Amino acid sequence: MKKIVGVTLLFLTVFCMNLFAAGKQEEKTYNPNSPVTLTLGGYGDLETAYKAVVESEDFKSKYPNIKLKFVMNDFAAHHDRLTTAIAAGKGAFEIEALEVGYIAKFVAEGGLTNLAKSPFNAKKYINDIVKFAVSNATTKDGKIIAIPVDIAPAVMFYRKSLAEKAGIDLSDVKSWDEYIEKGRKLTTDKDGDGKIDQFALASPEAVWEIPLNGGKGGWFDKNGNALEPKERFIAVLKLVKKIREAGIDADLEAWSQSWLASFKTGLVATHFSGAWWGGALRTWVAPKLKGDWRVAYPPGKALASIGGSYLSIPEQIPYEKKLPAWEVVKYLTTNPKAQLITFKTIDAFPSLTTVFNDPIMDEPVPYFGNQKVRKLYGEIAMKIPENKVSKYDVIARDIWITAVTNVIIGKSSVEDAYDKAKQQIENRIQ
Amino acid sequence: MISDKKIQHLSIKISTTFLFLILLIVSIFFVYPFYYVFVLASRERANMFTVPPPFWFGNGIRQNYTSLLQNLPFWRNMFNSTGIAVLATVTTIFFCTMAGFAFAKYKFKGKDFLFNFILATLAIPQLLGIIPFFKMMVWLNWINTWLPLFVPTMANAFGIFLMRQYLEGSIPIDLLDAARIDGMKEFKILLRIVFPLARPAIAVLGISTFIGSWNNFFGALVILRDKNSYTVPVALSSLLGVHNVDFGAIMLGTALALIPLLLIFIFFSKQIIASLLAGSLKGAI
Repeated sequence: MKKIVGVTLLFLTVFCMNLFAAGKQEEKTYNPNSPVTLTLGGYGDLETAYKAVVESEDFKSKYPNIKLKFVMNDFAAHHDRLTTAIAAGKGAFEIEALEVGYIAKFVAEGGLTNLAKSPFNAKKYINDIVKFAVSNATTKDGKIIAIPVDIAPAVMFYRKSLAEKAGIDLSDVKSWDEYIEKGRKLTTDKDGDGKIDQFALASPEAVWEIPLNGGKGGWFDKNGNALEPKERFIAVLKLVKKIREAGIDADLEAWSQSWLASFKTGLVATHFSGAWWGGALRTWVAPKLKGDWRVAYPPGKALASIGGSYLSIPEQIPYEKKLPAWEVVKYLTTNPKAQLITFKTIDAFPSLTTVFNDPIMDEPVPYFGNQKVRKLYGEIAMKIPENKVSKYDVIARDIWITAVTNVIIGKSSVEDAYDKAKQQIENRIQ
Repeated sequence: MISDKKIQHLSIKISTTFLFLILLIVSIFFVYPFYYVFVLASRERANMFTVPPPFWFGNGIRQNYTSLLQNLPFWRNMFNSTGIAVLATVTTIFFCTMAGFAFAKYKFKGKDFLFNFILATLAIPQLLGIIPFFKMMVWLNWINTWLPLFVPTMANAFGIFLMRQYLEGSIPIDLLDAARIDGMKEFKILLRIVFPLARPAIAVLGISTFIGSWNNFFGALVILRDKNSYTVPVALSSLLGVHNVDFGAIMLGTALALIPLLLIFIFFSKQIIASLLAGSLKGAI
């Protein structure tokens, strides 16, 4: 009998110790004295920006024992690699960057740590991050799977000299109809050879995202019906059709050589994109046009975000590495100094609203003729509406792009393109 | 009066000239993209996107080269690409020839079933296998090593099929029997008789494997985890930023990565043609 009691007590003791240890692990906080090496997987030039952040004195003094390595790939390749690692349940890096276009996929499919829960408690730290960006990474049940690190409020870029020559003002275009009317004046045959050599814009494809708040979410109504409310989507198809029929676009394929050249040769006079495009214009697309490009609200003060990055911690990362990884994510996303360094280094616009009041936002930018463009970006960012994302957003978006293209090239009428797209989306998600 | 012979000679000359003209036009379509890569590689980013597009070389090579080396351990990446491609080529040639020889000249139980099974694997899209493949490599602890990029494909269905088809018709069974009577062991027959006689097919398999390995992007992307271990395609893709793309460095890196492939084509084109001719003559005899 004594033996049985003894063995039972021993088991109970071990069981309780395990429970205690497990409880203790959940309570564990980041230990700044333990050296750790983390890897951040990302794309493009994020490395340049984050390297500058981790080399800053502030970061070094706060996290002297965190060493951050980077593995960068191009945009699509990075997300393909991450998708493979998440699906395999192994091989992801401690911190993974996500572009906003991919966020819905990961929100729906899982594999990323819920940062809203303890010990991360993200909700405590993200009050000052722009709301629409946070909502894009929040699931219906309140999980936060990534934190926005930069955003891209959509604006209209335009060439002041070309607008003046056409006798128009593009700083405050009230509606898309007004834009098309002014676009007709911008579209001209400058050298009189019978061929148009200046257009208002490169392609109507650059426009469709703006009236849809950037196309990040908002593809389904509350009841899960695709492309509703109908009028909203029909209006977009009508708009791209109208632009093409007005003959004011140069019909250039995005990112082709002639498309890139058009921004410095004067072939196009306006462009719609995220704030980051300003950095591309300034540094390599058209650096010689310093002082001529300007920035304005899109027509009718439409609000959208085109681009933006998030930082996440994959679920598969061991617990002891998640804590320092969260410290880095928190620093990069919620520390004003880090946000400003990222902005200054690669023109990625901050997601942290407290930075919008920094004196740098009020500085005139010589490339844009000393216009205070950053203030405008911040103003737009604060107003962009929240859109709930759904796991079917990627499907809806892909099908919608085909519908837009078919309307532009005249393959489908507006109604047909809409009906077909809606039908296709509903078939795919059933 | 022009003789019939002269007329015939003239018509041959005209048709030959016409043929060469067509070939010249067609070859321009094939050569131009390569030429254009080298033109862009020699231009600074600012002089790249012009209208009309640049047709002649610029003077930006030095700047592009400096930028390339600043952003990437490029020669290390070239070494990785070369090492992996050479290992993939050598091992694929060895194992596929061995398997092809077995299927072509040996009789064993289940031979047809096994061969058909191997052939059937060709119908499975590679992308479907990527997650199990990745999981296996993690389990083997082969991540960030060269091994996953050549070991799983050492004995691949295409190579085995190619070698089997070639060896079946080009090596007489009597020759193998004679070698056996002379006391040659099977492995020695493979090395001394099969490999030399299979040279044209080996050239085709070798070149396709080398190019396939050199251009393997996705496999290298998911397996290799840092700049120093990247192959050239993955390394160059990492230069594609959003805000600031250094196209000059990318084009120079692309041009440099093309050189080994062009050299291989130039030096081994004779072998490829010989292999194709051998196939066509075999059918004619």
